[in-house]
Amino acid sequence: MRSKTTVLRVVTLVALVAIVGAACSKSPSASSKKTVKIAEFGAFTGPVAQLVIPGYQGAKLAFDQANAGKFGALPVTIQFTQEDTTGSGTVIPPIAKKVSQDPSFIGVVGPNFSGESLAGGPIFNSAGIPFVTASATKTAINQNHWAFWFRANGNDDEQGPAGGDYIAKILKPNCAFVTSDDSPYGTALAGTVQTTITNDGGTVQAQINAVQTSNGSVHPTDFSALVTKIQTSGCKAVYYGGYDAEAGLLRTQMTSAGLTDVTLVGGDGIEDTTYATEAKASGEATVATCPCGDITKSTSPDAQAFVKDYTAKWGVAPGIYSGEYYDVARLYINAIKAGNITRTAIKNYLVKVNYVGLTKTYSFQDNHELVPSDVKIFYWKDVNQTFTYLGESSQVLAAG
Amino acid sequence: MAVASEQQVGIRRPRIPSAAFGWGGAAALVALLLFFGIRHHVCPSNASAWVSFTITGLRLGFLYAMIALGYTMVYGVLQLLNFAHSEIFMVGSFAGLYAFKTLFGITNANHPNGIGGIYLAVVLAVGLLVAALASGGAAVIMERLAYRPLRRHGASRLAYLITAIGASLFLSNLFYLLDGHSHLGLPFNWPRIAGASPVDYPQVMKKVIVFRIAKVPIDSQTILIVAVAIAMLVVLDLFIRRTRAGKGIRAVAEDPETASLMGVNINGIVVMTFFVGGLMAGAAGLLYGMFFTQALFSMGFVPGIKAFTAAVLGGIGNVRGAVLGGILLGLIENLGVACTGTQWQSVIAFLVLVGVLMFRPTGLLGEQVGG
Repeated sequence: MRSKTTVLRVVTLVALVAIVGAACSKSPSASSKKTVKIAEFGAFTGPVAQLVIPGYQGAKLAFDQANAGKFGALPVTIQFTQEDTTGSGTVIPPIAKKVSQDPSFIGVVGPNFSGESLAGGPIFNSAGIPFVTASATKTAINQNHWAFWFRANGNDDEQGPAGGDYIAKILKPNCAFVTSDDSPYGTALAGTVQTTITNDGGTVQAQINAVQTSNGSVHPTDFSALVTKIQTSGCKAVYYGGYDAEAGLLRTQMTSAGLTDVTLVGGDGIEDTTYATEAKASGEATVATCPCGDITKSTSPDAQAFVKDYTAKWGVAPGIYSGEYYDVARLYINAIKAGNITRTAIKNYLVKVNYVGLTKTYSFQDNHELVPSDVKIFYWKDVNQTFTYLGESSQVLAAG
Repeated sequence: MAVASEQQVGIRRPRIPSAAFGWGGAAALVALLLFFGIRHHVCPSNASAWVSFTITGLRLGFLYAMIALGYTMVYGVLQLLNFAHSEIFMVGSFAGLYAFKTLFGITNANHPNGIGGIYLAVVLAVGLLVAALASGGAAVIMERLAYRPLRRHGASRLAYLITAIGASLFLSNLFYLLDGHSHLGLPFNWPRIAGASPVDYPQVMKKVIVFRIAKVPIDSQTILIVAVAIAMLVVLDLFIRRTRAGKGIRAVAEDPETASLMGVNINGIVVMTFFVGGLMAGAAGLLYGMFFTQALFSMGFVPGIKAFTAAVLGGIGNVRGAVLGGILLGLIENLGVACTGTQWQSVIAFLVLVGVLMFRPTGLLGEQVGG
């Protein structure tokens, strides 16, 4: 009796599994297109995620539109995945290895930050998988001469001078206090700014590498000693090379210490909502440079369509690097559309590409940096706790 | 030769303790370095800079002292380095945050300039109470679930240490996951308490400049931190020295077996020790969150390490030592960077710790609860 019941249960279970399996299996009429994967490496969680998510959403929009046939028929379906690095160079290596060893991945968007680019770059390059960043701006990344790396934006040799020039030529303070976090991005950017201000004839007091960058277990909140240093310097302008999570708190603590007449200037690492939220009213008049413009101000029909589609899909207007990463996605889509569905074929396509995107024209030099004439740096200013577009750097500086 | 003859005739010179040479030498070295630093414009020469570094050092030092007490008391009673104490501090910060937001409905949006008067006093008192009780409760639960089974089975010191590290990681990651989203495939969203990103702390008390010392503004929140810390530290000291429960803690710390034979309830004392340490850390968590305007799942890591250092500096197991160690560490960290970059803050603090331990391996006041 007992064994009969057991047999009955087993048969019922097998039947159920079969029914569920049949229901879940694809019908023969479903698309037989091959699927290829492209991964974005960035901080999708943690204190700096707000610098990454708008760009991801731009790229995701492009890939979804491509799969829906907006850019013409594709030979494959593109699956776009998120790989969360939390922005840390110590987190990225195992994830980069996992993706590199999976042959279904044919390209990488990002990594978003310089530190993680330096840590993940050797893995991607040795695996021969193209990786295209539009926001890792540390210039020295190009010294690695990675064949599969591309930077679809300006670097800190272009952004740093814009920051330094704004201080020396627009703010014209008695002296500038240049400081930074300990990230490869922040230290390099602050170094370039220091040189620029000095070359412009300004006076600089520098304390680079003064702040520990946030990571999984460390999130510095106490900048009292640095604020006292700034106070002691008497400088009326501060340049901070680093990211929003620390910059917002630094600005707040500067204001609390009475440094209300000191202007903070930073790079693209601070140009987002996290800074404005953290700094609140004390962030007013903060200036940020960015190799990213305001796509919502563009009059081109394609850009306007992008803004409309992006806002409809995500419920918010495009943010930092949304347009730039949409363009990076389009580079991949165009390569795939042209029949390049292997890693090496895509790399070879990018080497020769000449594509007019939403934000700029994309063609690469031998070192896989953008052709200099394609690079533009923009200024943004915190007005009522929102970064407001001031314009292209050359025009703002010319207007004085 | 002269010395020999003095010894021969029995003349005794007063002996100068070797420690005095050590401290005197260190002070002379610091003074010399400062002299050259100021002369060569490496160190600030204006008084206001030094006052400013001292104020920030004292503020941080009192917070370290409040956290350090939990480390030192638990070590005194159990010889356990409770590394999860930094997360007990974090729990207090979030509890205070939610007391402000949920109990009183105060947010930065509806009270951008904070509140004032008696209402402020009530909100702060209740917030401190909730934060302290939440941390105290969390510490007691941790003791019951993580450490008591080890004590029951007579586990090795290493097992305690690993358990402490595990409890620390568990708590911090638990708060990371309490972000209002679904996890582990469970069909519901987890409560939204913390999450991966910092949570804004309601500024119930606006930072206003109350007075100035050498032109350095002293703000209301700094005064609050120092006042609350001093009040709680004095009450704790009286509790340890004057009350029956405090005597019990000291007795267990000195000799648990004899204390047990004398009728002291060891389990009760251990629970009380965790609870009292938690109370102090919770209150510190609220003050820390309020001053630095945010709470985060990983916020306990750095203050926890520093507070543990403060406990060792003062003499681990020694309540007054923890207070002294905390205040000194805060001052050293801040005054130490006056002539260097802020990236040297921890280097200087730990150099001083190593230096002190070389001369006094048991810390400044020695290892003894209530000593």
